[in-house]
Amino acid sequence: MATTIENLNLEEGKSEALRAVLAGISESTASDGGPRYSEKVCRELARIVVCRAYAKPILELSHLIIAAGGRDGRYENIFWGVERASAGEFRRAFMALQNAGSGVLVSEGGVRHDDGGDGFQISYNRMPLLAALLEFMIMTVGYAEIDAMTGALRRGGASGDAVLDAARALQRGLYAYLKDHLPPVQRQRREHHFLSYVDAHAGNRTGADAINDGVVLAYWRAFADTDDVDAKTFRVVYDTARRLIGALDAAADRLSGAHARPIGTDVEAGEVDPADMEAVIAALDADTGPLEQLLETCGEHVKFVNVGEAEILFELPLGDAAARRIPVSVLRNAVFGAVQLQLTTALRRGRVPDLEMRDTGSGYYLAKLDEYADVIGVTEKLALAAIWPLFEAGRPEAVDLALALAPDIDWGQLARGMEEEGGNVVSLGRVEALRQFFQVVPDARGDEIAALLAESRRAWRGVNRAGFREEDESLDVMAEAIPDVLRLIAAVRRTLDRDLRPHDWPSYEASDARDFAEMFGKLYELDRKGGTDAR
Amino acid sequence: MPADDPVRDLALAALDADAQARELMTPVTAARIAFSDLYRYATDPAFELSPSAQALLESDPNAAADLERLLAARPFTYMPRQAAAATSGPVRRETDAAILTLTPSRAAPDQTYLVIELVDPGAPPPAQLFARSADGGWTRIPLAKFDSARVQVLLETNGETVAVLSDPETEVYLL
Repeated sequence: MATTIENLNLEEGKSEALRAVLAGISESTASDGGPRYSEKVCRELARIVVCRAYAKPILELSHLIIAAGGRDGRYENIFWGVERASAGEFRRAFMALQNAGSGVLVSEGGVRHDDGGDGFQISYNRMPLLAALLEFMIMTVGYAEIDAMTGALRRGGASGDAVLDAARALQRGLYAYLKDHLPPVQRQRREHHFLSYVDAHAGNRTGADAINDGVVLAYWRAFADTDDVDAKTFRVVYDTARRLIGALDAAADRLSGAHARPIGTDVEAGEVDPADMEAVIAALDADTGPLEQLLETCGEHVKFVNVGEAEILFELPLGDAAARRIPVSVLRNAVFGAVQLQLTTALRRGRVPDLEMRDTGSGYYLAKLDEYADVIGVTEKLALAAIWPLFEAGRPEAVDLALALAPDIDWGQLARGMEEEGGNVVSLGRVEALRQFFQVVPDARGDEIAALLAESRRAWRGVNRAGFREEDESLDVMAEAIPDVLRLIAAVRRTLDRDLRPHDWPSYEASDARDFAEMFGKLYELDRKGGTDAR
Repeated sequence: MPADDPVRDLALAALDADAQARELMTPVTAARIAFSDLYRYATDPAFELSPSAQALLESDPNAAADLERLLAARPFTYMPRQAAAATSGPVRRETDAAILTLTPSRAAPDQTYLVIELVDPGAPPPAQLFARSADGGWTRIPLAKFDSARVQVLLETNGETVAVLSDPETEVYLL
């Protein structure tokens, strides 16, 4: 036992320096006092480090160092001269760069480096992560060492071979650091245990198909009251199931043959390619979905979703297959997971909790679905309101919103007349359609587009939220958030209408109220109060 | 699903790695000072390090070395350690780009003037002075706008900044 504890302490000591570097990066500040790197970028960085999936990003970084170095080789000015590490900031910085090095082409979409071969393109969206990776390497491998490894690139060595040599040196440097500071990955007992249980009860189903609502509830009932594994709360079991579904689906997709794998990885023998592993975790992160993305884009500045609404929507698995595969568990978690949270909170505070269960016939699952629909209805109204300031400012995002929120309108009226233009019909047509759109006069009794604009103006005037007031100067943030708002609305509607609504919810209510009351009573030695119909 | 199924292996390995990545991202008490914060400290006179970051800079030799490298890459001028201490009178350091003097005020002896004069009046003037003392500690002084290639800063005669700038072992960067 002593040896195990010593080993654990040693491992912890090894990783402490690494944790301090990652913490430093995630706590670094932009000039407005906010975080320099988004949470998403910090997570991606940690993921790349843990999976050791840094070969491709380091190659991209080597090309980017040439582009950022300009003619004097001082790449720092672009990487850390920007206000914050965002795609927009890097776009502005590169577009303003007067002296991009030879072979470097800066465009609206990104930066291209002609290395004498096929060339290499890096989009602005990728740059925040690459900046974080470079910062990580400077803080771990060393600033002087990174300068030395990239010396040839910064002195004008822009050939493909020079880039590869620099990338290999950087990889070796990072490999050496991680060898001493990154402990081996620990097996997560909870997921392994759950999947073994699923295997034993799956019948002839395999993969994520084997995880269903029955298995989730049965596992919780079997292990909540044991010391075998941490499964006391339904929420923990639900989250485990959900993450496993996401991971199994992503792994199946990744191994389906669509992705190139380095020669030498023997997946049949249990070997796991770091790039595959990183891709699966990336898919899991993406599954946290459009709500997180929207909050990250506009958060406090433009409240398409306020804190209370976000809390409700976070109960829905918006980006993954969980709502499709375990729809009943989604609502069980939302309803009874919340009850259990109240119980455990009360116990932690030293209070004797009351068990106030749902009445079996109260329609609580359908009420929960209605609650989600109400919340996303508010977001849709705010999106409608947002058309107006964007329209007034002549921003094309107004059109994106209008098209998404009112797809049934006869938008063809804007396109009429352009068929005769001939030649470059697409671009001329778009310009003309936009011009016509921004010339429409809002009129509640006018044609469909004029009426939509009038409705939008009325909605705008009726909103009093951050980002929706005349004095708020946040139009850029609002415009940037439009794709995220539309993704959120579509995801919530899809989850509700396709995955959750089409079930016989009343039939679950009686048994669930009874089963959960029985389990809570057993787990916390409670007498039930409140709703009394759960016999 | 067989225990050696590749999909299962990959999914579980990814979840294990994800758990470690999340664990590594949990807050720690002793975060390193980020390089990006050092860059801003070196290049933006308006940016102040928080007291905790300042303490980190003083206690972390790697961060101090990184800062020095950042400064050394872009100085207006660098004034190295001096061979010998001036025995008395005003402190004076000179390079081919600037002259730095420390002169006690006659009217108020508790105050000392730091004066920087540019050799080339047409040169873009520096905005900050960084001084590295013999023990490796850093002092930064934001400089006001130069007037006729000259700027003056009033310092406390008995203050730490005057002591550092008076020490011949101190290195000075203007940038």
